[in-house]
Amino acid sequence: MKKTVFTALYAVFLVAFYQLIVTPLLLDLSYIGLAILIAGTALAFFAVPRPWRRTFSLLSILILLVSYGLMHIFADYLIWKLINLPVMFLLLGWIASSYAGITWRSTLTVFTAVTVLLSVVPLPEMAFYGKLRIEHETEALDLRPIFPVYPLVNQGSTLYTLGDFRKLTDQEIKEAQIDPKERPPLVSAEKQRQQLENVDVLRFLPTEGYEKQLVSKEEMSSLPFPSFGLAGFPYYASSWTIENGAVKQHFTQADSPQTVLTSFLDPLTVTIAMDDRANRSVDTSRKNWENTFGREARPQYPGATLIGKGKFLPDGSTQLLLLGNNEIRLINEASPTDSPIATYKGSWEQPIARNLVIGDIDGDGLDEVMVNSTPAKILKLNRDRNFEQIWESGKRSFRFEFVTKQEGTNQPLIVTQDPSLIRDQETRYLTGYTWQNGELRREWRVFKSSLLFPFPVSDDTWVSGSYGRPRIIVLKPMDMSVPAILTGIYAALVLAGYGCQIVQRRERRNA
Amino acid sequence: MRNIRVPFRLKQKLLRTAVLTLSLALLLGGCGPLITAPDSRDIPIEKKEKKLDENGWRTILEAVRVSKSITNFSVQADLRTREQNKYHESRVFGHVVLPDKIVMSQSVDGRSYYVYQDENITYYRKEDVWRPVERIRLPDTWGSLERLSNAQLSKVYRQKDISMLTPNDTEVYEFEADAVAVAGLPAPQGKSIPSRYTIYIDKKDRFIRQIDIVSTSAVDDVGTLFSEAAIKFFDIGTTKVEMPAALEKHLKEQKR
Repeated sequence: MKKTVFTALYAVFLVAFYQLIVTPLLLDLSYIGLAILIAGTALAFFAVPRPWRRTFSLLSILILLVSYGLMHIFADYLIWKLINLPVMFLLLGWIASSYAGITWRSTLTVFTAVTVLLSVVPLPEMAFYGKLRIEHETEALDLRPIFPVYPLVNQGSTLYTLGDFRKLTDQEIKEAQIDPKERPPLVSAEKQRQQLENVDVLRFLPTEGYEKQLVSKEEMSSLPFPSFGLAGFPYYASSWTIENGAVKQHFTQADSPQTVLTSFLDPLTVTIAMDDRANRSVDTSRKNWENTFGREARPQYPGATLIGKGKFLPDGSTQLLLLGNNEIRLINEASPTDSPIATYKGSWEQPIARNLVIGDIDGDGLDEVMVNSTPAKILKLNRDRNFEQIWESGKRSFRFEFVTKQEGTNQPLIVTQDPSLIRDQETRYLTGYTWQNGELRREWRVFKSSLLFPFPVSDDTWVSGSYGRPRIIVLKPMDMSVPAILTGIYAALVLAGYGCQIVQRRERRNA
Repeated sequence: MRNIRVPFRLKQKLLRTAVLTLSLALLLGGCGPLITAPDSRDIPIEKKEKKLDENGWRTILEAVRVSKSITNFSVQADLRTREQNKYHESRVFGHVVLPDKIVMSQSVDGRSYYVYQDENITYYRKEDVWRPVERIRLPDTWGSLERLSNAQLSKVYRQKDISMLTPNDTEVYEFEADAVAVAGLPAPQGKSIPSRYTIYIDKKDRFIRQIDIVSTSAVDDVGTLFSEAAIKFFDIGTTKVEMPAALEKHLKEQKR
């Protein structure tokens, strides 16, 4: 019984350790991480008393194989689960018992323990538990090519996005399938176009358990125009209809694809044509918004957009941060028509395009501006009322997401998505930093990539979209540091192993 | 197992204390090394070398004049538009024989299209279906570049030569101008679109090989619209416009 319990606990520990310690080492430090991993594995290997080393190593390999096998099986259809699960159990169990001397009972224990663990925390999501826990995860939303990333809007704790909630009828699915032999291809093409260009607006509310709901006209009209009005920008203009009380959003091409094509053959006007197209996309969407929801949606700051409010001056007043043509403008909230307090112009290499974060990173009560140019930088308003660059990333794919309070400390948490320490690539991981002595000091890192514009809806609840399989993920930071606990257990096991061996040797010497 | 139980019991207090102390130290200390995000002092950002070229403008206009003789060429181009942290992309790849023949694949924000036009027919593929469409009027790609002479330029920079087909076979010139003025268009309400142009000129035949344009403009509620176009010309003088096999098959099926 003890052996079974130990095997089960070891299986759970090893899977978690591999996901939260080993994988991050490799992702963050590449070959250096691999060297540390080899050293750590050797240390653990020799910590095991000699007679058990082989079995222990083979058991570890079995556990890792089972975890990866189960992860793939879990992602498959039910019928494949039913076929693959026993096949994998029998195959691995046979290999383990025939060549590794691992009993069928141990294999069954490993299977059961890992299955239970992966049912609670699926392997692809385990990386979150380096710091966060998943409060909720919506079902997959539609991935539509017309918006490469889908808009995610919040009003308080209510979340809004786009997706096709309406189930297609069997007839519609049939029509959408392209099979020129059976039906006219034009009908299929038209159905396909309709599916691409028409979506529902969806709402997710914590009090409703984040269940997908359709949005009413009243709800939609309470949102600002840019929330969904820019969803098709710059190639599509949006329009809205109300069907059975629910809002449906439609996308129409601002320019025919032929026009886009020929613009390339007149190279000097290609970016002018883009500007014209983009302006028409916004203007048409704005008119459609006003017509549908009966609310005026005139731009508050013509030729610019409001990034947010902040306190940049020590007098306690509030300022507005606007973004115009590649230029940040800080203006007084009380007198917005006055000339700007400060401006900061982006360069050709590092343009500024609504990719800004406002937050007090150093806890001095005054806000800073984080510019997600390439590379990202932090600007602080100095005494002469000029924006001064106080930090610039050494990595091109560094991105600031938001700044939030931390419980029990006055040091704000700066949440970013940035790449591995060694490599500079587009795969970024959610990371928490604090600002200390002119540097960003890493507090934690969750080796989970593909997150889409995470933002806080409250001090302890964050929301993120996701690339690949679009969905909304609601996260809560954990006080407990799982990686530290796992490292502690690893260190304790290694120490105990060597301790045992030293004691054994002394005993043998004394005997 | 049995032979280690006795000594383990004898030393268990010591071990327990050691394990507990270590675990607590790791837990309380966070056990991680101090890691800071690498900044530009650690990894300096590389900058492209460029120098002012007094003859740069003349060289560009001369290349425009030489390129005007081109009638058939292949194009690979993309236009990336950045807004917020999102990229939108439009791409084309295909062959052109001026004044009116073209075969080209295209994608706009992930949706694919295909065009074919010869002296007789024009077909466009959309949602995987070929449809006959009205004749597409192709711009005079090389003639339109003559508008460059409208631009009032103060500075043209020359970058390091690059290798496109053979080593160091391409000269690279760069200048900044208002796209509206360069294109010779009437400025709508005094609108200006600051742009940076990079022109790649073949050293040997003096043809324009590539044009890169980076522009920023202001859009209500969006702020900056950042557009980055790269238009590359190749197979100059040798390319042909041939009907795609899929269209040929489609037309045969229609005849039946």
